[in-house]
Amino acid sequence: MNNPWTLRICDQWIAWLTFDLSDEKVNTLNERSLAELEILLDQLAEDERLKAMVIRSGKKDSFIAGADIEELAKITDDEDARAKSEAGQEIFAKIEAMPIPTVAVIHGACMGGGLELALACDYRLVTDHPKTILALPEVNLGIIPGWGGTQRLPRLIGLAPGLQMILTGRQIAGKKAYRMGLADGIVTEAFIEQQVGDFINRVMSSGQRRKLRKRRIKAQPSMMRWLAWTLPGRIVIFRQSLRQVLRKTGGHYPAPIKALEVVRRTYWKMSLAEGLACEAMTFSRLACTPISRNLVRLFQATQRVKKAGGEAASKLEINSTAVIGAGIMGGGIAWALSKAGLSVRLKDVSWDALAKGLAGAAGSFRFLVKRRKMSEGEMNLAMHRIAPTIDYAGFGRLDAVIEAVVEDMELKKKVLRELEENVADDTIICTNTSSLPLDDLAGVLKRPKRFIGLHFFNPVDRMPLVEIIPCRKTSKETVLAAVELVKRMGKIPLVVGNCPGFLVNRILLPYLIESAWMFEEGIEIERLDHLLEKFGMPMGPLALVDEVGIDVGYKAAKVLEAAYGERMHVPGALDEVIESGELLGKKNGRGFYLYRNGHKKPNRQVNGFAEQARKKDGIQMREMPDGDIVDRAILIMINEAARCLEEHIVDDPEALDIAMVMGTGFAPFRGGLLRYADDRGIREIKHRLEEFEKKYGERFKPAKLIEKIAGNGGCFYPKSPPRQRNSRNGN
Amino acid sequence: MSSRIAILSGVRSPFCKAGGALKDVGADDLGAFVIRELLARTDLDPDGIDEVVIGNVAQPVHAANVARVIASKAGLPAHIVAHTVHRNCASGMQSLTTAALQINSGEADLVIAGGTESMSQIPLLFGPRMTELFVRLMRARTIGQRVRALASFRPSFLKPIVAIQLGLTDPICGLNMGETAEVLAREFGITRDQQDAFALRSHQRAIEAQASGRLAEEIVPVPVLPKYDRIHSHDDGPRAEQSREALKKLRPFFDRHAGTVTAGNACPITDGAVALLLASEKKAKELGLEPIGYLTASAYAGLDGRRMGLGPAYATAKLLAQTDLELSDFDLIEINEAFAAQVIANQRAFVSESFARDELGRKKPLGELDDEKLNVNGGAIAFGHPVGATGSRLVLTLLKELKRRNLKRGLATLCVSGGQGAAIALEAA
Repeated sequence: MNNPWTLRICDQWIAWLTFDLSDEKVNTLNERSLAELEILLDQLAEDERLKAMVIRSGKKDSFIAGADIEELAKITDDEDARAKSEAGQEIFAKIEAMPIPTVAVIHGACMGGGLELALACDYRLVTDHPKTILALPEVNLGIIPGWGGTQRLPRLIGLAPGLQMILTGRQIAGKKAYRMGLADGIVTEAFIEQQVGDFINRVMSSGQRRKLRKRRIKAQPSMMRWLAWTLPGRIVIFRQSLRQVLRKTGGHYPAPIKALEVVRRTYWKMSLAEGLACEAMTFSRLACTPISRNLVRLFQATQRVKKAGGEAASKLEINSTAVIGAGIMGGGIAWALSKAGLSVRLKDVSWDALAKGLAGAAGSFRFLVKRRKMSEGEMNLAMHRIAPTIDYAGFGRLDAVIEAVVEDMELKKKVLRELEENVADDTIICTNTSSLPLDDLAGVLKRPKRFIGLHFFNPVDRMPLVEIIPCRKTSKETVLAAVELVKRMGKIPLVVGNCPGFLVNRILLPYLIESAWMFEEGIEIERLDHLLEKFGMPMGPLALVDEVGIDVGYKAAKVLEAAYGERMHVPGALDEVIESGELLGKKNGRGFYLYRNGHKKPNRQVNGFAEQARKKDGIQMREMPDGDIVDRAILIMINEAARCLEEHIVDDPEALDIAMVMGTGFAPFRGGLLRYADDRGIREIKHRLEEFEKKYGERFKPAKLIEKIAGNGGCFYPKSPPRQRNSRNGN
Repeated sequence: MSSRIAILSGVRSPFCKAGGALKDVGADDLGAFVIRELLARTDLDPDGIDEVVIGNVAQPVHAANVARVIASKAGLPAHIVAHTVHRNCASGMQSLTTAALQINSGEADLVIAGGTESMSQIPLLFGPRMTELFVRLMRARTIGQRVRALASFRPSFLKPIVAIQLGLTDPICGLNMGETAEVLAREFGITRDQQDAFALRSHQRAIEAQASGRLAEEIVPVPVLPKYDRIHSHDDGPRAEQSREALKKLRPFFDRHAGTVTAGNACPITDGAVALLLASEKKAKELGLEPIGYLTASAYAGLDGRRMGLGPAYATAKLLAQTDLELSDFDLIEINEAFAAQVIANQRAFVSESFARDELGRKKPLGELDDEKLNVNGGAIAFGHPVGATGSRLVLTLLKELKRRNLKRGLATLCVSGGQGAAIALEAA
């Protein structure tokens, strides 16, 4: 491997250090590249002829993406973590100690360690390119910045803005970085050398240096600046930040809290050296926690899934599309297609229905405009790409159609039949469904080769996952095209086997059904929901049913009951709720909870339904420990997930875990459903399942795969993860 | 015109009164909606389009060369060129004849032509004194200069210039368009009653055409910006409840005392857009598309701006002289109804021997404008007159009606502010 750093000293005695990691698409800071940097720094520090030093990247549109995540994953223990942190800190300290002015020229993504390196330089210049973004995303991986970020950033841009970047990982665009004082100037890629040269000439004069320093301070919001200068002000800022962090993480993620603590203990109180020591110490305590492990693994796995389909898929030309059905799903899908720059014909039976779909898409775009993620003009163009129609005009030249009418077998069949008459022979036909048998739908088509199932999650604009379900006759090209289409929409494509419920719902529904059983058995709904939220689910199961709509969830559960039999039997309590006819969930304000003015409170009325059901089913109300409640809900999912692996619905536990995290919000810090099972130990899982089988019913009978893995002491994942320090369990 | 030009397809937006349903939909947006739909309905590869020509009068400030903006918004690839044409009220015809010229010259084979206008969005302007104040403020270097500039402000500076009013006034003769209609009413002795009767007829025919679904055939429903929560699909000008009594109650608008022209017997200001697909006959065959008709000849004529309403008579005379046709050869005729008085003046001029002799230099009058042939689906008094788009609408409506009735020839003609007339001869396919 070549030295990733090249040094060029230009005739004005400016040392240009260019970082270009060979054979990689982006630059990351690994041990070796840091070591090489150190050697160069030592050498340059000696050279008295030099006027200034510039650090830049040799990659196209990318500065430094951060520390090498593989190395992060390999950290063995606290000591190792601390050594790594300190090693980086020392090298960056050498940058800071350079006798000449140092300038980081940031073009493209500058993340994590990359930004910490830039912070160690005297000055930062950013380009005006849209890909130039700066962030400290460490907390998203369960760690904190460990190379001086927690120290240098708040000192540079002020306490409140610094905390915001550190605690949320928020991305800052180049121009914004200049406005907030994080960067000292804006340059443009085309004239980079000349403009950097001009900047260096500027910093040669002490007057200009003073001006630059003054601008940094002035760039901070004055109110926040004053607050940070007083003790009570700082207390207010720290309190507010803590409150925000807790609200966002539900207390499941220690990293931002620790980061906040480091800043609180060091800002305004310690010298840089002491602060760095504190940072390294805290970093080392986080780096080997299971939470960080899980988040890192999940991140790596997501990166791998995002590359699915690879080169072959990205060569496919998909430009023109259509969506049939302008309901919530159809409108959302049209929005996502248009956002990806594709033209979309949106078809429904009436203009009024179409207007609803368009208004939904416009609402999602408007949200982006408000958040300044897109301009008014871009929104106008994006909306122009969605063309409403009530007939098949313009369907003759489409690359792909996504049918998204309501989930009604006969209707879908009729629409698909009609659709096929109106599109070209090679147009890909996708159907969006969560519960209908795809091969039956494929049966009505003359060319089932180009037909494939997609399962978008609601709401489309926020859910990152799309399940792709090939039918028996679907061709490989069609699968590839669907993967590419989903990727173009900025979603994560996951090809799964065809079975009722596909992957995510097949695993999620048993969880909801089990929760309904516990509800029938008399467990209070708040207790149930609270325990699972505490476990790390984004919302309790019964609140989720309300969100989805009780009727919708019930229908889906019934479909799965029909397919999988007794183990997905829908408890009588839900029949009672449905028969009452008045509880639909959040959409009519009445479900397991009552919804009023954006608040929800438990609906006492539902307990009556549970009681009636108990009478009918001859079940006694029973008390159970918290641990049982959580395990019943979670382990029944693990059991179903094992069956999905057995049946090759997915082949890879990693893909299954990503699907559950992305599709249902399953606690990311637990690394996914199967990772959690592995961490608990499959033997224990099996014992618990057997115990539940006796206590609560046959549906808990361990799946064959679980029996097998427990038998040979293995895990779902191929290799046993290293023994972890903190043992955890479900509650 | 050397050879006839095939018209392959055409659509338009609903025409809606200015300040109403489409007030937040810009001229560029309206144009883009219709062009996107035009392409969809013909299932055409947009790469094959050679040019987009759009007629537009008010020239929206946010979209200079509105044709190019429309083409991009409609999803046409960047390499397709576009330009905007302006011949006042005939702009929507000018785009068609310009496209025809391009095709006949061999420069283009397949052209989208049409017109668009958002009269809702014609801005109010600051007067010269306010503008000067802004300029001084911008140039001010010191606080003193700034204060002095601000101190020169007087509330009267804020009186806006109403661009639409200026636009509808002939800067040469100084008459507003309504005033030119009064000129014709007096010259030809057209009474208020006669004008109101004509206006009522326009509404009745328009309502009948709407109810029969004939208009829906040519209309592309348009999403209503900025929320996109409604899709507007019909012309909102025609009034089913319009009556002689109601028309009678209106006060003359342009000459409050002795006038005859009211808001009821004039066309309302309106938003709308039209797009047609034009091709050489050879190209049409290549594409395998069945034309809806042909553009066979066109003529523009100039006259005194004060009598601009007689433009159709002048232009038709020129058109007939150019071709071997007689007025009686035309099975259907569209004269744009800028004002009832103006259409009636033409009806009289067309049959007048003295007018033919003295003004048109013809031995015989042009011929009678048969009521059964003229504006059979109503006209601008009902639908409104989005100035840049109307010319194209006349052609579209006329071709569709010729086809429906299985007739051969049509004449579309209109008067043009500033003293011009335009006429186009069409043939059904």
